[in-house]
Amino acid sequence: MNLQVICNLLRNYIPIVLCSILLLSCGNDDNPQTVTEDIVKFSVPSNFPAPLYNLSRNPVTPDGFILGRTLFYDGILSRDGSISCGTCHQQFAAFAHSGHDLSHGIDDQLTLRNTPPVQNLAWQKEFFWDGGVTDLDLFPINPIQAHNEMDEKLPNVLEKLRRSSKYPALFKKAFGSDTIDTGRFLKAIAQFQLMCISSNSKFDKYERGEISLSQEEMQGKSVFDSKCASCHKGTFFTDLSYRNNGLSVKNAADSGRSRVTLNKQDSYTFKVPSLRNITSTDPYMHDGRIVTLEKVLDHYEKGVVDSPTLDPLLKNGPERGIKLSSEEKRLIIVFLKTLSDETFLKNKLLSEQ
Amino acid sequence: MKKQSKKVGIPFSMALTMLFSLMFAACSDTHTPSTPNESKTGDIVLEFDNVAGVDELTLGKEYTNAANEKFTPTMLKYYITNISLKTTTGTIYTVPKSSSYFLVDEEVKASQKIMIGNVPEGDYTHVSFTIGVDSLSSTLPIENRTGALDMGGLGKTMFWDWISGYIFFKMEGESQAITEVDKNFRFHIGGYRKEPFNNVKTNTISLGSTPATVREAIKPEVHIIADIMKVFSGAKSISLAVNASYMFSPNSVDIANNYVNMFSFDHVHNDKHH
Repeated sequence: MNLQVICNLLRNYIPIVLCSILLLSCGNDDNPQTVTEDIVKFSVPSNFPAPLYNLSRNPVTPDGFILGRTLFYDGILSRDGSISCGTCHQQFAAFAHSGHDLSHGIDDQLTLRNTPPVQNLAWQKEFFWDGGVTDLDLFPINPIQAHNEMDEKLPNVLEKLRRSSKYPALFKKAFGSDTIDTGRFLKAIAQFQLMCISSNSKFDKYERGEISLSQEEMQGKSVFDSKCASCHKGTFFTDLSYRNNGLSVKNAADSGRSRVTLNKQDSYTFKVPSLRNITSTDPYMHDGRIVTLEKVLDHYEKGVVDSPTLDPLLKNGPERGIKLSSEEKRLIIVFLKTLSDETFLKNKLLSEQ
Repeated sequence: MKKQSKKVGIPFSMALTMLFSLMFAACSDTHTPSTPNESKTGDIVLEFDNVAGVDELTLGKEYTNAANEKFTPTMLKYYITNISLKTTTGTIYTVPKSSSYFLVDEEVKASQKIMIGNVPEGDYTHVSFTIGVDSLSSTLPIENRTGALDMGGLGKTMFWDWISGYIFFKMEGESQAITEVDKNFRFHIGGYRKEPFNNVKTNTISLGSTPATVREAIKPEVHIIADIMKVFSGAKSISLAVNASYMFSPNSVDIANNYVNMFSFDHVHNDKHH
């Protein structure tokens, strides 16, 4: 192990080691979480690029984060108190909705799409499957006000928080006074979202030079790099573009990105999703129609449906899809499993308290 | 019953004459305002008087548009932003951007009077403003979206959460001319990005030969007429029977191109402070 590797190890594990020490040492404390939350700090993993979110405007603080987390798990954001952000964004599923093709909101209404995970959002500029929302701070307004999600109005949420017994004090701790306004409310939730960083998968450690991947995983990576990485690119496994990946049109009402751009060329295109924690975010695709990774790869091999906006990368003359042998598919999945980040999926800081 | 006073039965010209007479009576002591001292400031009020042709606008009342369709407006709101004033000598005073966001709401009388303070003394003959929220303002950090831009407050019904954009102009109502089962019309006009369309519009109103004489002691009140009939006619004639819903769609440009011209100067009172 060379010096560089040791340095990387130290840099990336000190926070976790600290957390563990604190957790251990405070095992019998009445309120251990406050101790660990004292070290809540947004830091950029060494294998990540600079964040796109402007943290100088909304620096993550322990109290801002705690407020954001409390809001994230509180049904008070919905009309009848039944739905919180955490209802559809479950930590063990990388904050996607496990086992649900379409997410469902208030009064058991179905939405148009599959719940996307909440992870590494500081490195995105456009949100949701169609990229309609262009600022992380504005993200929560959408699910709060959608009639089939939380069906509440933002001013009502603020009013309920002002009247509540606990929130004025939490806002005071986070922002210095008990004023509850749109900006503070949204910034607090953003602070929680910003801290949902997944950066300790096997792949991350490999990327940081801390460990090696097995021979099979490396073979899988090599197949992945040649067959998948033109769209599922880079550290985040997405080029953040919008593409039509050849799914048949199941719901004509959801034309994807073109709802935002009103451009026919964007019809039925959706954001290329990150593949981080992919083994936990099933079912797959924008409408959750595919249940297993094996079937996802089968789709790319032989299920791609031609259409005017089918992505050119899935067309090869008269052929459609991606040529994949069963062995290649097996190896790709072996590699995809290295993207699972148990530290993130089980990080108590991010859990409902 | 609606709360607005009505001018039913009084011809517009007569009403105008009456208004002017009143104005002259009220302003008899301001015929010769002092020479403006630009180091001093005063206030000015821009009053947006929503009308339907020759009638004062009353929500819930029936009118007839240029396509000869009867319609009943039930809501009218629009953003007036980026206000600037120009004097007879061409000096421009631009209201600081952050204090220049206003939402005029037909249901909120106070919102129709836009008060601007700290205006350098001068004889102002032109008022410019944006109808809508420009791209810089539409992408402000959340902490700066206060007042009319606060989607959790005053601007709550004027924001498309699914595409992160303000609705610049909102008019709703009903009409039996609509062929759909749903007899409601909805004009929700916005769009600040270059693509797919940009509906940020500006207009300049000339006060002609009657400048607003802003002085420390004189607070002019400029009356601007906003005529909803012009939303239906102008660059493009709008028929509710043909289409009653204009929201986030390319044809919203037709509505915006019409409403930009719904504003016109009516009169000014150069009254002393009371």
